Amino acid sequence: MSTRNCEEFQVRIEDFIAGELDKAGVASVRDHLSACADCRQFQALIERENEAYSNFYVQTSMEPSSEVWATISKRIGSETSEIASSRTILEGGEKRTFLDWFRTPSFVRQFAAAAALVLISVFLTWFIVSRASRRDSGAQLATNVTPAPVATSTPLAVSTPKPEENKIPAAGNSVEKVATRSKPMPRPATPAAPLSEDQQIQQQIARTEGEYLKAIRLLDRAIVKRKDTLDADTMAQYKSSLALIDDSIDKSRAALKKQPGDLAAGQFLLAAYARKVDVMQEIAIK
Amino acid sequence: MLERKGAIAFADLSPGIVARAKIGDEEAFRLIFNRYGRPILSFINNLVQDRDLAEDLTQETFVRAHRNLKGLREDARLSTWLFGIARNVVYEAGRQSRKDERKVGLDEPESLRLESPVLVPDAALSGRELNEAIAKALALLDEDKRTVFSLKIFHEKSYEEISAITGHSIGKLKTDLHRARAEMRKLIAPHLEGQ
Repeated sequence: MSTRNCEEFQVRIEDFIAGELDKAGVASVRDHLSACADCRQFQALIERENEAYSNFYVQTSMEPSSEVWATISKRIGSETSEIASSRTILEGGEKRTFLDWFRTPSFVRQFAAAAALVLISVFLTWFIVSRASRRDSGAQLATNVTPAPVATSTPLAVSTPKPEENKIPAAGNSVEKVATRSKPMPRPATPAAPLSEDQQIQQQIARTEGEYLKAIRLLDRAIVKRKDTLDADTMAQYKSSLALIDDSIDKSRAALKKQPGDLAAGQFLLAAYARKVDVMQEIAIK
Repeated sequence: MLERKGAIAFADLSPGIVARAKIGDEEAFRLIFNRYGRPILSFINNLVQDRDLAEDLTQETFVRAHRNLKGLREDARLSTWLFGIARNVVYEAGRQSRKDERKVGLDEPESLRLESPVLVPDAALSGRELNEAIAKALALLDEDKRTVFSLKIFHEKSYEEISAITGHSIGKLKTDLHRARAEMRKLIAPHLEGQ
């Protein structure tokens, strides 16, 4: 065998001994070894070295002293309590931690993030549509500068088709609390009891629902302004889509009311709001 | 060989231990430490060659592992993951003291340097002396070679696992290991012959 060939095989012999070669590699090394005394010697050397290294490891590897675990355990304990206390935030008079946010189901987090983005996007849509409408309508629109409240004066009944939904701002239910959250609330004199996990999830769902409701109100105003420019077929399709979506919203909300910890109902509710915003946004910019 | 000895020394973790540890069960995390504390400490000690420092870095490794355990996606890769953390911890500690001279090998006599590998023993050297020669030779390897050598030879990791631990390509790992073996051989060969 040539020396160069043997040099190449030395690396492969190491891998052969370590069991790192595939079948073809093993066969090739075996063939070479059977024909090359030098490489067989090298193989024997590697095996002796490995044995020496093995003995070295067994004789020198160390069991961690008892202090190691004691210190780890102490550090873990203090880190856990630090995280719990240092990241505590006061929100609406109730103590919530960042960890609580991560403990909420992923779908709620996703919808909450989506709702925040949707709100921004919807605001931009509303802004653009409003400017366009003002340009188109000129002085006629000047008399209607202040958008009418959705629940009472919108001529587009389809955008607020359900009486329940119209009553949301005044109904005093959980959604209403969300919708009016921007108003400063008097802080309770005594700290509120910590919320259970179910309550925290409900609260998060309600907040996300509130974001969607804000987006829907903005879109509704934009659609009201341009309803005359939309053809009858489009409006009919729009009304029918919204009716179906609103029905889903009502049913999911009813299910949540009956069973507040029902995550599937929460997911359906938020998905329905997301769909409603999509449909309305499509009409608003059509 | 190592594998057999390793199998005797370290039984596999029961299924579900990692899942329990992930949800904050400290006893489950202690079982993980009991299983991997020794190989991790030994690996770190191979790299830093300082028992006290190795214990400190082992603590840091397991504290970080606990902190990030929820991010471990494949429980079956726990060992690779822990070795990866240990390696990072050692490298960070090394960077912090980079201005100082390397702790490892600093106080070794000139005779241990590669360029003058004169470790010729008397006729017969004890196993202890061979171990000392291996430890000294290991200390003279550069970081990458020492890491791959320790993981492959002492901890029997596959190239794929070592690649996951170090982030190096398998080609580089093979080259580093081959060179590490050759450098080690120069220093321990005289002792090996005396065995």
